[in-house]
Amino acid sequence: MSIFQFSFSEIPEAVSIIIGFINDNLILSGVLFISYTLFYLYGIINNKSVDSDVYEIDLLGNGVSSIMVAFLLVGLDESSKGFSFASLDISSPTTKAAIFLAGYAILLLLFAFTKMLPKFLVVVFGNSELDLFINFIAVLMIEPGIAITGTLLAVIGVPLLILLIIERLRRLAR
Amino acid sequence: MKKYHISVFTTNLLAIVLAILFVKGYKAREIPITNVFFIMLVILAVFMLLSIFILKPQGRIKSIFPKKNLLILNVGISLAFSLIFLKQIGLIGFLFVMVFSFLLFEIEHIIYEGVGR
Repeated sequence: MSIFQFSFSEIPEAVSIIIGFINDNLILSGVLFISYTLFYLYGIINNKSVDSDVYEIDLLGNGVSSIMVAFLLVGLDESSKGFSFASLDISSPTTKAAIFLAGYAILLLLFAFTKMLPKFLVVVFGNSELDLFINFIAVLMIEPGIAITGTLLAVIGVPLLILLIIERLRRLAR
Repeated sequence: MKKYHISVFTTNLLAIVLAILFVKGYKAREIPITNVFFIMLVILAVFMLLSIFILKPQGRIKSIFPKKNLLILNVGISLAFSLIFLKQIGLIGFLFVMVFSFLLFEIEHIIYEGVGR
């Protein structure tokens, strides 16, 4: 199964992978979700405030965290084990994901500085749900036994997408 | 409380989680964390020098660090989590978590300072 393939029959397995990871890293997963929940609650409670909306500043924040995650991912599958970029294993899925993430992060930083993106796309790329999605997938990639599939991505991404839509609808209805 | 405070605080939490999990992942693969730690240390040093000698003198930012309370809270939380996982991450891992979390929340602070919170 590749990251572009989705199957309903694989949903229970994807859910059990996520639950297994959370059980193995209970405190850290808890902190990860608490950090997101704090941000979400702030947005929900202050949804009438201009301060709580998504702006280019969030693109910058997400870009910086993504570039750091990409940097740390690169080292996981690097053959010299000494963090040499010359020894990168380009064929490894982790390295491919790291390179893709670095490119994405650079684009975010570029868009944040140039302020060329329309507001809709700033919200799409700068929201905290997407940041949590990327970070959660990255920490799953650390575990050698976990294969990232389209189903796993959907199981993590769809609830976050629903949360984002709820928050945006609340803002629209204010 | 403003979005700035939440953002700097949650960035620190996120950085702690990422740093500890990555250190554990590196250790599980028997990859030494020392090189990554020194790279992070260099990035932090460059970033601090830029803030102190360029951004602050030019008036782009008002303060280099977050307010005392937020700074103590963030460093305290990083310290607490690093100590909880000290056995699993080792001494260099402990230092890496402290440096990585400090770097990320400091960058977040400077970003907000740069645009006037």
